[in-house]
Amino acid sequence: MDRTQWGIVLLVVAMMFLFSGCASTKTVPVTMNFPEAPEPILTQPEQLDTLPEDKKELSDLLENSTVNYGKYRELQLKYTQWQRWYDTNRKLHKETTEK
Amino acid sequence: MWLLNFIPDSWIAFFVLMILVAGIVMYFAGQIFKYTPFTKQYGLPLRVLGSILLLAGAYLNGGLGVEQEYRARIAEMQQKIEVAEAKSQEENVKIVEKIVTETKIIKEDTQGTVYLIEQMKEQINQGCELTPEVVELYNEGITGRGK
Repeated sequence: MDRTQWGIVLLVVAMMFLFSGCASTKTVPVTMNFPEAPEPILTQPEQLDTLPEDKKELSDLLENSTVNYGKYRELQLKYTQWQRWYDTNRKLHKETTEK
Repeated sequence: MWLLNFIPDSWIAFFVLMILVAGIVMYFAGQIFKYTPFTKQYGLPLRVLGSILLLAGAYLNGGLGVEQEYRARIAEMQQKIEVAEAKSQEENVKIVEKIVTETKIIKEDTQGTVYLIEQMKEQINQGCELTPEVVELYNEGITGRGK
């Protein structure tokens, strides 16, 4: 091979190196941490009260039911807030990670 | 390669360009030196070294574009994450506020109803008495039959 041919070979190899450099890809090492849920929705649910056996009146039963309904409503509130928390964070995660 | 993250982009770009330029200059200098009497012996080493630098410079120049794009993506991602975390935190505060406020209302509601039941005790009971079976069945509804 003469000088011109060596020069062309060198140029071609240099171009190959240039393109192979361009072709190298990397994944972005930044990840989104799992979000922390607020403390009130992480608490254990309250147990429903049973009616003591010595209670004989209808008003006792009614009182007990009222207290239990209150507990249910509190739990219902926390449950809907859990759904709200999940929906919000899912949406945020989607917006952040999708291109 | 992670060390590159601490070096400013402009420095890297300059350094990489200099490698390429040095390679080209050395290669052509080597070609010229071949024909000059006193520098003839340096021709080949210069061309070899120039070729190596030229190839390294070409590769690094190609990689630099990728590196810069990569850094831009990292910065963009970090910014997005910061915004998302702030929004998530904001939502958490709203959730806590709602739970605290509404739980208070529910408790007040319950206490109000219990108070009314106490007040209307006579009216509600009217001689009606619960048998132990009723209490047992009622409690089974609360705890479940399996317990």
